[in-house]
Amino acid sequence: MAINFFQSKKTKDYIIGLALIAPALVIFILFTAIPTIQGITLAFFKANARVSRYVGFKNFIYLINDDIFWKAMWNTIKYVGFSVPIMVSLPFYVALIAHDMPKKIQSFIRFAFYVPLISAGMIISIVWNWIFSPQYGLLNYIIGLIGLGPIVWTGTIPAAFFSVCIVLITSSMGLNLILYMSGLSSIDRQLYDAAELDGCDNKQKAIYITVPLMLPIIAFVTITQTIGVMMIWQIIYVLTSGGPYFATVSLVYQIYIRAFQSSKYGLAAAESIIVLIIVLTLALIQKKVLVDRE
Amino acid sequence: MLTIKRGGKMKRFLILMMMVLLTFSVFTEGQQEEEKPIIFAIVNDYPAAKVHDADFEGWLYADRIVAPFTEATGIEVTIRKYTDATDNTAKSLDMDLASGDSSDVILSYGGRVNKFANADFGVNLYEALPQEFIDQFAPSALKQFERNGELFTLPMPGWATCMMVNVDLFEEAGVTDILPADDDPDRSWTIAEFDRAVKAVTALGDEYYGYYLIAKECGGDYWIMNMLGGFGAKLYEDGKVALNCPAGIEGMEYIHYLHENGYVPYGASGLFDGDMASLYFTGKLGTRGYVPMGADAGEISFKDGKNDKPFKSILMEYPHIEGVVDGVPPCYGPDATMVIDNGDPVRLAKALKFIEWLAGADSQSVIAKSFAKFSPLTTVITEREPGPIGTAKAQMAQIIKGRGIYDMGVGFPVYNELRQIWLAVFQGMLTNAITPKEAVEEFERRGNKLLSE
Repeated sequence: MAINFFQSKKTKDYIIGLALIAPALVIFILFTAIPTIQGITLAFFKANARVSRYVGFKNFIYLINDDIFWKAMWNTIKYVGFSVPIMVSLPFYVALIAHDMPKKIQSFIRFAFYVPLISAGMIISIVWNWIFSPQYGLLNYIIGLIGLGPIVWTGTIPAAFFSVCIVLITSSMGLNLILYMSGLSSIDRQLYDAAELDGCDNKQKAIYITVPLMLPIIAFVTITQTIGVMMIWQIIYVLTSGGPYFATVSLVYQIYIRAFQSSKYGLAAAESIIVLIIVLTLALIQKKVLVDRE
Repeated sequence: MLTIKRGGKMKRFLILMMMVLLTFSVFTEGQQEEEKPIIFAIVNDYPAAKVHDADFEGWLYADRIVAPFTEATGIEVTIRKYTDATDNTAKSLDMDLASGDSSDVILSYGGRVNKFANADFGVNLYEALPQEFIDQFAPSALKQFERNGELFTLPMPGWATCMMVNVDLFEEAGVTDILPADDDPDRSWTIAEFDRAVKAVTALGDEYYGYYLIAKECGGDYWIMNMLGGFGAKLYEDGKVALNCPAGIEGMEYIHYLHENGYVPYGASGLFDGDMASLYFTGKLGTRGYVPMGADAGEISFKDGKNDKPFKSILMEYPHIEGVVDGVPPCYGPDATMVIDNGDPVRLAKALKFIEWLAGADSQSVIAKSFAKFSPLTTVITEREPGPIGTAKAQMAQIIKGRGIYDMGVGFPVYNELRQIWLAVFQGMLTNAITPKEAVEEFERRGNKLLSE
């Protein structure tokens, strides 16, 4: 008996499923998969806008011998080391305080912290540029009222680094706070009631109930913020252009400059691969430590 | 055994898809290719159609250059307009060149275009254009753009820098004896005179400064180079960094001294060109770097919140070391134009005709006048307009004629990267991370490494 392949239910389901995911699949293939593969191969070429010449590992060797690459690496590690703990813990602390407030205040807090999220990163950075302006900025005006400053926030070496971190931390508060507040809402209140009956104070409740139950969200925030900070470039581009004297240059900022200012696409692709390896490694380690141990 | 049932839905769907694809290909690929106009790409066209030419309405390039060319030659030209970032990021040009429909002629700031000035993209204009056309250009202007005896780009009208002086502040500070008369063609002064003026103006009060440094973005390097030029220091020579010399170190030490002693606002690494302009226009700055194009020559009016307090602003050269240097060649940032070889000899021939028109004396006169730029053609004299702006431009033209121009390295393919390196080491000096001598040495080391790649 001939099997009518195209009219079997299994095949029909398969084709319908394929058709439904086809748009997303096509977009993924065209705009993610193919560019990624092309990017990886580009790393082994010296390429300008028109011509590519195979150079093997020369791009990677160039980067290893480039002191600005290592400076960018070190700066990126510093950004992660300084900013991520604050980006993870500060919204958590705010969420804990807000969680006990009336619903209307909670809504207002959610709204207030979320607004920067809906603005483009560039816009936020431009606004902060004005705030940091040494002559006309709001920040120097405020500290001037208490007899301090003026500080050249983006034009002196330690201040420039911390200025970038300030923008990083404040612009990420919204999403993390929303996540934490949602997580806290999902914790069964009976657990706290039971703990109270057993004589636990607020600190013990936080340590033995809240934090363990919030650990998956904390892990998610930690991993995503680490990846996000490793990808930092827009804030640097607007605030400091990597200066002063390479003090704020990051790996991805360097990639942007090499690709779009210098038109050295092969070198930029090589650096992108290095960043990809680092980010993947960090993400896997964090997942192992924070997620899989559950 | 697998079969497709006769008259099945899948069969009908496949037939329908094939018909759609066939129809689509007939309407796109099946047509005979019409001759396309050549494409003229302008990056960062300045909206100056009305600024300096009061009787002109419309868009300069379309109406005063392309339209007359088409009328004279019958060759159609389409204009493509791009905007790029002030850091000379050229990604739109890269995308244009990488696309299958690249422009044929490009015009933009020299630092952007010269990145493509090689055989991968262009043609040797020394061979492609008539010698009498090439001979119109000032030799020093062409030399900046030459690569191993070949020329892929042509210089177009560009910016030239000098200094503006707030005469009223100088009067208040008691140092107007330094300044020449308004109609005196000699606009030069010495470093000693400049130093005296800067100190006197700064002494007027906490909010007053004699000069201004900006180093937040690479756009401020013209002002700094002009100051170094006053010490006799050259930025580049024979294709290499030439700043690491006694004159260069002395110039950097002087700039550092101005910064450290409060004669310029502190924290130059965080200050923009706009910060400098706003301080000048509010009458609190004695001198500033300047490009004579806008309405900041003559009587400057501003409101300080209480009343109008206009002040007089005049043009001067950058100051120079007495006895060592006679005067300072202005830093010159020309635009550049080039022909892109797209592999079609017919289009290439048309593009070469167009570039001759675009870079010719008539077009350059129009462009130079409209954008207050200075032409690299010896036959083009920037028109003088009535009033202080015209006076400033005429004075600037005289300075260029007398001093020549200061090579900013715009012709290098790595010009943008060199500027970024310069900015970084200059910031290092201003933040005291490195000394002036170390800054110059680092710039030489990094710069020459780049230039040799």
